[in-house]
Amino acid sequence: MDKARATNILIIDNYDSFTQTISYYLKNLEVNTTIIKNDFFNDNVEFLNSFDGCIISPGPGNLLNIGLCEFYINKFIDIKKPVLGICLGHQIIASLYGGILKKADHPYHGETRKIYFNDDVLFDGLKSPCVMTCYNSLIIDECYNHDIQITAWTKNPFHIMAVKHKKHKLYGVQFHPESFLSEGGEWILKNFLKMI
Amino acid sequence: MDFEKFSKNDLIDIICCYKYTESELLDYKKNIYENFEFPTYIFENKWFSGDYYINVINTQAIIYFYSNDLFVLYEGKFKRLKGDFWEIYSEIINFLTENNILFFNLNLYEMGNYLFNLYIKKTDLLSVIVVPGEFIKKYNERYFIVKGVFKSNNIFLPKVKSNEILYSKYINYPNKAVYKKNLNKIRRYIVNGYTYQINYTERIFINKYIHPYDIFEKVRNNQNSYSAYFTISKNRIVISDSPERLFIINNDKIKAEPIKGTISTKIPDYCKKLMNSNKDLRELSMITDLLRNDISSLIQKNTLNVKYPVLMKLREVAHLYSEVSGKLNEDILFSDIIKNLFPGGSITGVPKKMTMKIISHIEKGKRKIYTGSLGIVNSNNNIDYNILIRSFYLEKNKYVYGTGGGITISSDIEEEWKELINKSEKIQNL
Repeated sequence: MDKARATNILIIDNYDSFTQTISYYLKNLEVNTTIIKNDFFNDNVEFLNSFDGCIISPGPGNLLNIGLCEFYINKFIDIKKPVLGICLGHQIIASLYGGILKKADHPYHGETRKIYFNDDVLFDGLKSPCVMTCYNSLIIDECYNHDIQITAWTKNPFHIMAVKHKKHKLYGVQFHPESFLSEGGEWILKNFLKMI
Repeated sequence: MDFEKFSKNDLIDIICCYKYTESELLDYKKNIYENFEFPTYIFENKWFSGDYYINVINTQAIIYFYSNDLFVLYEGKFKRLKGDFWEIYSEIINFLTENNILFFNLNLYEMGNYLFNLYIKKTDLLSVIVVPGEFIKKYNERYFIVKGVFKSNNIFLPKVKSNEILYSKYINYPNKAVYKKNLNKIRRYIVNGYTYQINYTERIFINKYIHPYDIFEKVRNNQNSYSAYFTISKNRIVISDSPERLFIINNDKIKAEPIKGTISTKIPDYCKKLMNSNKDLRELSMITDLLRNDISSLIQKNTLNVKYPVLMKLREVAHLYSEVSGKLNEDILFSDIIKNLFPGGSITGVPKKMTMKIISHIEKGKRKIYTGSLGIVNSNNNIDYNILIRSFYLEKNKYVYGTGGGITISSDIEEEWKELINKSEKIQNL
């Protein structure tokens, strides 16, 4: 990481209503952000190289509503820079590696849940279990790719709450660290910045 | 009966069949409607938290915005200008605020559809700006009045056939079967994750021969309300009795106060019940997250603040609301603030764009002024906008009253229907 300039993060917005909050949290951490809509196309090498990492925002609907998210994830894998998927973004990352989505037992819209995790860098500074807000009706059921590792979950019922890729710098969280009822959500973003 | 012809003769016609039964009342009414000079704009009670009063003498101009057209009413004549709505609108409001010119602004719900690139008709009125000419600051009167341009005596009142009973009300409630059907559709959208919460609303039509100023008189006595009497044109008048604030700006501080969660004050222990209702708290937390998002691109680092939940007691119902505030960026334009905060998150749902799309598919009829916003803008650092709920709208000889509520996965159809009726209780007192 070039210490001389501030960190730049690209945020892909899936037409969601929490994207600007994520950007605001990053600004609080002295990070510059650029927000683009998920259907905005730019494969300019200089444009992509100007970023140190990428965040895929939450969003409504399912994997039919994700625009060019997969394209950008692959681009960031190519340039070896980290990607964090939140909610829908998390589901996109898992589905890229054989993850299957299903409907959860009921929609968890605006519900706070206890999240259990093992020691993963993304959860540094937090104590298991931590309380985070969820906004999902779908959930990752199973993942048939051994490169994807489950890093956080809920109990009763068991739901996958965070994943990471063993080789690439890909991270996904099902919960919303930017919600005001999430306790210590900013740690997730702080820790993600460490991956740069 | 054509409303063009609905003039004194018709009025006398109506009055004649009552002369013998309730003549005193009618004489009074006739006298009032024909001779009293009604005001055109009144703002009182909750505006600027009730401590800010100005008396305005005349209007300089009224601007009507459509998507590709705008009309200015200036010195009694209409002038037309073609051009893109947002380009002209933002230029005008930024100019007015930067030059400290006081104005009133009514933004209709359809303006939100324009901002989110959703479908609108060319004929949809999007926004109205009223620029008063001269005004004097007065601290002993709790309202703004603007005289001029319209004579309220010439307003088109609701049509009532002469053989109909003058004092009965014709209230057209929404159809419960249709409501149930639509709520089931919404459930499917929620289960599939297209929306987390949606503000589904219905319209109630009221046909009664009553002057809008009379309605205003009946509702104006409410300290917790953004009371306003706002004339758009001869046949369109807004009577606001809304408790909800969209945002207020005081110097460099901005604060939004979304309302979510309702309980009838007839229920014993209603305060405690509401403060402990998981369903209502969750609804409010979603909208609070939405407002944090909308406000966060406008404010400085590390200044975002949330107060949640807060209780609001009104006459018929009590509500929960939250306060989302921050310190405005120095280089922010007033048009950026409107673009980020309008339409209010509590009357769309989360996430905003997809939910507004679902609203336009499911709701029958446009919302117009209902869930739009009325605001007073007095320079760049003194702005107060409400959200027009619990408000009457006289349009085309009919009063419309909008009512509805937030629907989530935990919503019960019967309970939501009850809430919808509770919120419209005031129309019984007309």
